[in-house]
Amino acid sequence: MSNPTTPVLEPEVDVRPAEDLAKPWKTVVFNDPVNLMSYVSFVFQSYFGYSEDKAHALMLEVHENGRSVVATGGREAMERDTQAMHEYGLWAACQPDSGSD
Amino acid sequence: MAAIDARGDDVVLRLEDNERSLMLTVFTDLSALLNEDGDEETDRPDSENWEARLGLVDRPRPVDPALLRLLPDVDPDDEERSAEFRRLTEFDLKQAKAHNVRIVLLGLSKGNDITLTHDEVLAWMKGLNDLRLVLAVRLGIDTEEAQEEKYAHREDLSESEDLTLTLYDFLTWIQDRLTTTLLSRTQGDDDE
Repeated sequence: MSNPTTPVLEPEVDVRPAEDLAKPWKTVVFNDPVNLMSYVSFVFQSYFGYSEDKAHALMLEVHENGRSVVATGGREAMERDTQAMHEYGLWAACQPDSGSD
Repeated sequence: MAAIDARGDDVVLRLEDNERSLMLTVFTDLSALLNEDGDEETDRPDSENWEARLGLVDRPRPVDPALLRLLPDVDPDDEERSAEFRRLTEFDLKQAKAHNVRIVLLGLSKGNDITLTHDEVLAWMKGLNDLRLVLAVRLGIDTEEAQEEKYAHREDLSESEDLTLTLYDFLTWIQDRLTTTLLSRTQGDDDE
């Protein structure tokens, strides 16, 4: 009698140190000459649900300082936000929050 | 001259013949840029590449700077994490962008008077933004200074560069009008 082994698909396990999971991350949006002020403000309102005033302030920060931290949180959430910004065509990155901003 | 007006929940875009045919051409080019790198060995289009869909294969960082601008690194300071993120997510991002372009092309195929639903306007705004990103890379507009330089010395541009800049301005105008139309609607809702 045979005992066929059930094929098992090994899920790819992402091993990260525990402190890495706890460490806050940030979504940064960078200035670029193409993105319109109206559009950037629209994206911050419609994607993040920010108020008109907050979206406008963040947009101006991107425009004047060259960058703005638009969200902070866990790594996966910040990666999701960055991916969403890329879908809108904004120039964004997900980075560990070193507290320098 | 193109015109954009709100009509109820929809937005109506009216284009001239030459504006519509030009947009058809450039959005078809953008569609090709987003779909061109199918699997060379099997000649499959990207949309049927299930290994890529599941994030099982590495995806090379785009060599074309315009495509790289559409599909950027998740963190320019971290090459390794960016490569991993690209493997897991670039397929979806590219498909989403290609989908927006399909919605624009479908609208343009309907004639010069184009009625767009709210979701279609969103796809148009994203598609217009992506196209402007590509044109800006082609024109060498990577900073605000470079942009000002182009406009300040228009007489030095080649004929094709000058036409591209005119097209860029036209697309900018449409994208801005669509955006402010949606913004005035949400702000109007707040006042109620």
